[in-house]
Amino acid sequence: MDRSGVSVLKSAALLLFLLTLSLAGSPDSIKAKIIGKVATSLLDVSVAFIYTDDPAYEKIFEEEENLIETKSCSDADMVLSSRLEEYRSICPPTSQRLYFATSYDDYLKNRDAAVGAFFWQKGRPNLILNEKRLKELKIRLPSEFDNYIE
Amino acid sequence: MPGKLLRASLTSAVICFFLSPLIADESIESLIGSYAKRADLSERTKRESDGYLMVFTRQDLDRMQIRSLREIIEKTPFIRYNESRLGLSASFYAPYQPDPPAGMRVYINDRILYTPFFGNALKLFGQLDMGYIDHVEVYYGLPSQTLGIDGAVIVIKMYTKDPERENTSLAGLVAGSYGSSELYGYTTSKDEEGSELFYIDYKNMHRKESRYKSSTLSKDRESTNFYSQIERGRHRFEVQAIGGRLDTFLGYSPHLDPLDPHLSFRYLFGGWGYKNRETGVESFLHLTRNSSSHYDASKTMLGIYQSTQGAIPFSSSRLKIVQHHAEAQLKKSFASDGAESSLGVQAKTGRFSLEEVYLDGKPYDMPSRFNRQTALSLFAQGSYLIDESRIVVGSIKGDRYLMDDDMRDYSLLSGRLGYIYNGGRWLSKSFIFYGSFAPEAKSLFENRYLYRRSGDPDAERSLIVSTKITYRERKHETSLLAARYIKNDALHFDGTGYGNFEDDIVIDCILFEHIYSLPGAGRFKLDVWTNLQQPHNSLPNRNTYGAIADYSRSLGRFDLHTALVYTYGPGLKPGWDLEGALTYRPSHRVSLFVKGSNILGRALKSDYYGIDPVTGEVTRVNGIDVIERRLWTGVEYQF
Repeated sequence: MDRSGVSVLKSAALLLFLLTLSLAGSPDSIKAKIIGKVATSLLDVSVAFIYTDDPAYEKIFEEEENLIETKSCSDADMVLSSRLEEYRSICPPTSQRLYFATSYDDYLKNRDAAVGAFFWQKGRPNLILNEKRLKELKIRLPSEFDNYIE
Repeated sequence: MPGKLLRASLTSAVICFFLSPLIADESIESLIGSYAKRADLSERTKRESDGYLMVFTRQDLDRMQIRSLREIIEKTPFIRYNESRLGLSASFYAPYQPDPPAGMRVYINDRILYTPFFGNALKLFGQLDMGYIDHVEVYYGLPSQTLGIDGAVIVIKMYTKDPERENTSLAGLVAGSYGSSELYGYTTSKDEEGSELFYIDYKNMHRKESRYKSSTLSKDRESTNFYSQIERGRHRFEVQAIGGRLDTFLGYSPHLDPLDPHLSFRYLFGGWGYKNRETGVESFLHLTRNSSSHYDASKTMLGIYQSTQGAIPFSSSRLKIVQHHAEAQLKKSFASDGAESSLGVQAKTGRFSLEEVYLDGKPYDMPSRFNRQTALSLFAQGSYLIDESRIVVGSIKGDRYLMDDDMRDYSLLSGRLGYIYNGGRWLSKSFIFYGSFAPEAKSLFENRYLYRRSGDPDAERSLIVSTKITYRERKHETSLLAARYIKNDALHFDGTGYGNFEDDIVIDCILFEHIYSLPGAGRFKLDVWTNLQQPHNSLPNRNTYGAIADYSRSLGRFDLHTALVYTYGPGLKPGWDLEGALTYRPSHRVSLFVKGSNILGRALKSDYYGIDPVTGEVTRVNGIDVIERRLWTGVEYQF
């Protein structure tokens, strides 16, 4: 096969990859939907600005219509990280800027500031919403979140 | 770089080729359920082209509260879970008959569960704990050798827990009927350097006792299992140590009047694996040592042995056997335009020695020079993506089995061709498989040294032609599978030793399956299957029928699972096994469960018989529970 043929095949394979990926609903796209739903419900907005430094969330929000990823934590409504303590001085948690952990250990360390966490544990994805922090911030969530508040 | 791009594109295309929309609604519970299911299935979809696949995901195993592999086997179409006269797991058990060489193979990760003398180690692992297992894939119809090059009609692949997704340390306690108990725990960790999993389990499994001729027939077992897995970059190291004792039910007593037969065993495994995704090179080395000591006794007679004074009966025996097994594999994968392929070589060697043989307390010299077999295998496989809706797959493998002593060596060949079509809602898979399989060493050994036959059986050959059509529409998926399985030179015991059937054995298999997806990654699944075995070698036709209805879902803090398994075989009263499990998580750290199996007390039972070696008199015991009516309850706590 000549070089042009190889090039066409490569393009076709890539196109197929992109096409099938967009149709399939990958784990990452569902993860983005979950974060989008949690963030907009916590903030009571239709579109939330989110900052993350977690590589597991890199570029997954591009197709999520309820979320806009920011390049700086100071522009964000929600900071999504497994190292939340690093942001306490530069982007302190407020009622307009919520902290959300992506690891259980980090959630436990920052329980006074984090409004919740989403992480894998015991082979399943876990969502926890911090009851004490929700009360402090006077956040009321739809009843579908009741099972996740503790 | 283009190679990597192509590999990524092709892999993703194959993954997505099989995906169908799973998101039923947008509630948070449903989204989390869909995410868990999709993340679990991402590995599965890569393997769809390897054969007809049934997956028990991590969520499934949790909801079902699976305690041992035998519960998975019971839910596998085309076979029934059964146990041998020693109380060991043996799905193809038939009195005095050898295990079919291509019957079943079980793997943990890349490791085949195998012992050089007895073959398939399902006997050992079938009733052991499964707390270190993440998910289970069951393939039927002689699947691809990507799963492991030792093929079989049923291949069960178990994968150990993923430290990244476990991310916890926990302890669990289970108590159940007849005084059974289990205590287990594991811890996982992951950082930039790698990951670790350490697991330990103690299980004291008491089972329902039967009495026959004033003998107690017991299948109780006690075991301790330690497993560890350490990953560093491209390397993975595994260690497993299992020790235990089990009561061997009827033992080998020909009159079915055993006197406390029991077996002690130790299994040690060490393994190394290497995988480089960039170069496509994979390799592993596995070393296993297995020792078992079996005491057997009978009130009347256990057997006879030949001596210079003629045939002498004995009533007790003690046999210690030590087996060593080593296997190594090197494989290289390639990806080019529209195609993926791999080439590999595998070598394995097994050694076994009868270290102690006592008959009626006196040492007996077992005259054997056969104690090693070595196999060298070369294999190649490939798949080609014709377009976005069609894939062809193929593989070929050659084995050379070398036996020591003057035993016969075997040259084996197997190959497989498949065509898969995905038209969106319609999916079809068709495969044709041919393979030859050497008898296990135990059959060769007994033929030569117990039954004094000079010749060895031929290799058994199998041909399977199969097709499966699936229709999918949002929450519904309906499939129909049909296969014809032809066995040539099937291995069997004819009363004087092991040989081959003259006539072919023809089995037609049909499976209807319907899956209805429920919110929260739940599902309702119905399987209806039949094996129609035509008459052969003066034996009548033998048809088996089965059905499995399975319902599972999560509701808030609850997981619910229930299943009804129906099996009917010739000469057996139909069996209905109703089981159910309910798991409750009052907090993030704690979960509680209750589970019942054979709730109706009507699960399929097994019949056994013994034959007096002198008079030929047959003694029978019928209606033995294989799946007992049992209740479990347990608690897990995460630290």
